[in-house]
Formats: sequence, structure tokens, C-alpha cells
Amino acid sequence: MNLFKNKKAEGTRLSLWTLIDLFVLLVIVIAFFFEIYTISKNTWFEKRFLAKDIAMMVDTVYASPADVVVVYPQNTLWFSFKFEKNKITVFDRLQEKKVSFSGITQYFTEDNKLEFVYKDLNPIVELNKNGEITIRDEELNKNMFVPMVFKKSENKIEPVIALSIDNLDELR
Amino acid sequence: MKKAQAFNIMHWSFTRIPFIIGLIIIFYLFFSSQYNFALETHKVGDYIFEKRFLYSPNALAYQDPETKRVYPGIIDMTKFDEDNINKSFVFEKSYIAAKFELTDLETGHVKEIYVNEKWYNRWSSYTSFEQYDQYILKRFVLIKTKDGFTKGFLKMDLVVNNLQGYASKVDL
Repeated sequence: MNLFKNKKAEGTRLSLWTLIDLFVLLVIVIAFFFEIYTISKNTWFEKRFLAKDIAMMVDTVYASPADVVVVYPQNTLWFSFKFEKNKITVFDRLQEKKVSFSGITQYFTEDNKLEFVYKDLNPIVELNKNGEITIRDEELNKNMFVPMVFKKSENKIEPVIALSIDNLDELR
Repeated sequence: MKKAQAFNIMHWSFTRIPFIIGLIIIFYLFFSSQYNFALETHKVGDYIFEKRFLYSPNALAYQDPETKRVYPGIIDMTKFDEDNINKSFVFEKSYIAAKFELTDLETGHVKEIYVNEKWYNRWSSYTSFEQYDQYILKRFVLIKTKDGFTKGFLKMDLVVNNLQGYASKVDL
């Protein structure tokens, strides 16, 4: 091919190609950083992690040969949880129940011989007068300390929002 | 059409555009793999289900009817039944399937049961792929029969589909 002969016009075309290449590269780099920015801003990863982890936690609680109360050791303050048949869905915390949000669902394997109590858990996070964070359960209208606990008794498994670590006896 | 113009078209069609598309795909796969790697739970999921089958009184473990105490190392022959196991669990969207082989070491009698058999047969052919795990456990156990206890050997072949039950995005 005689396309790259040492002519002035060829030199101009090559510069144009270089510019186009640089432009494409710039677009890709911008897309790359935009993706990183999007990931860092949204809670998709956290929701997916919590959904998967809680589903495994439920499977683990099912494996227990005895009655147990398990305090879920993750920060769940900023999310709402919906427990349904065979699955859990994690949402960004519902703000005043007005807006619907995208959630992440994960399936667990339910046991037919144990009742699983389906419910929504919506811890409310508030700032008190001193600027400290308090968590309340709107059903009980009580301040919360630990966001989630799994309670397995002989007949059922129930996810609940704990009252406080010191008052776990209230759950039994 | 001049030779140089034809070269430009060919160059874009066969080199640059596929290169850009390839680059974008690589970026996409890179991000996806980072997510999936961070949330990989292959061995943990297998381990939980191994324990669930062996420890849960609703699965295979013998439970003393008087004291309600569960004995995880003892297999209750009345529970070692395909119907019983399959009715115990909700396998809708479940990612687990298994085959159990229980050998009575005193009589040589072997009993085989399947859990979620339809999917076990399908998934067990795919275990060479990364998305599918196969976990084989062999252990000596005691078998509780009507007449008392005998020595036995349990082989558990668990197949886990890591694609099934994965977190999915839902919109309310």
C-alpha cells in the first residue's frame, strides 16, 4: 500500500487521526471517572451486600438446632428491609413513606416447618436536640439501639428491630 | 472513490470501531467483576447448607422427642426421606440442590435421596463452570432407627448455583 508516503497531506491526515484518537480516549476516560463517581455516590453496593448477607444470615439461623437470638452485626441504619416469602429486599430508607425506591432482592431458602414472620423494617433515624443520632421504631414508638435482630423460637423466625442490647430479654 | 478514502472507511469499520467497542466492553466487565468478586460467597453458602442439613431438626438431625434436644451427628432415618426433605424447604428460586447417600455400616444397606432433584441433575453437569459449586462432604454418623442406633457413613453432594438467588434490582 502506498498510503503512507512522505507527503504533506498524509502528515495532516495523521494529525487528524491522532486528534480523533485523543478525543475517543478522552470520552472513555470521562466515562470511566463518571462510573466511579456514580458508584461512590449511590448505595447499590451496600444494598446488594446487605441483601446477600441477611439472606445468608436467615439461612444460618434456620440451621440452628436450638432457639437463638442473633444480633445482626452490620450498620443497617440507612436502609429499609422488606421480608417476604423466600426473599428479602433492601431499600434506601423510606423517607416519610412518600417515595418509592429501587431495591435489591435476594432469595433465601425458607423452611416449611417454621413460620417466617414477613414484615417491613423501617428504622427511623433522627437527630435529637443535642445533634445526636437516635433510631426509632415507628410501630413501637421507642428509641432503638441495635437496628436488627433475628429471633428463632421453636415455631417461628422473626426479624425485629432490637430495643437495645441491654434489653434483649424483651424480645424473648 | 479514492484509495485513501476507501482505506479510511475500512480502517474505521474493521479496526477502530471494534476496538472502541471492545474497550467499552472491557471496562464494563472490569467493573462487574469487581462487584461480583467483592460479594463472592461461594464457600460460605456451601458451608451454611451443609450445617443446615445436619444441624436443623427440620432436616436430618435426630431430635429427642422427650427433651427436644437436637443431636446434629445423628441421622434420623424417619427424616431421611426424599418427600420429607423436599417438603421441608421452599425451593422456589433456591440456589441449592443435593444428593445424600447414607450407608448403614452394619448391614451394608445404602439409601440415596435427592434434594431439589430436578435442579441437581441439571446443575451437576455444569460444576466445571465458575458459577456452579460442587461440595462433597463425607463423614461418619450415627443412624437412629426404630430399633436403636447403628453406625453409618454419610456422603453429601451439594451443588450450588451462584447465579440463582443472586441479588436483582427491583423497582417498586
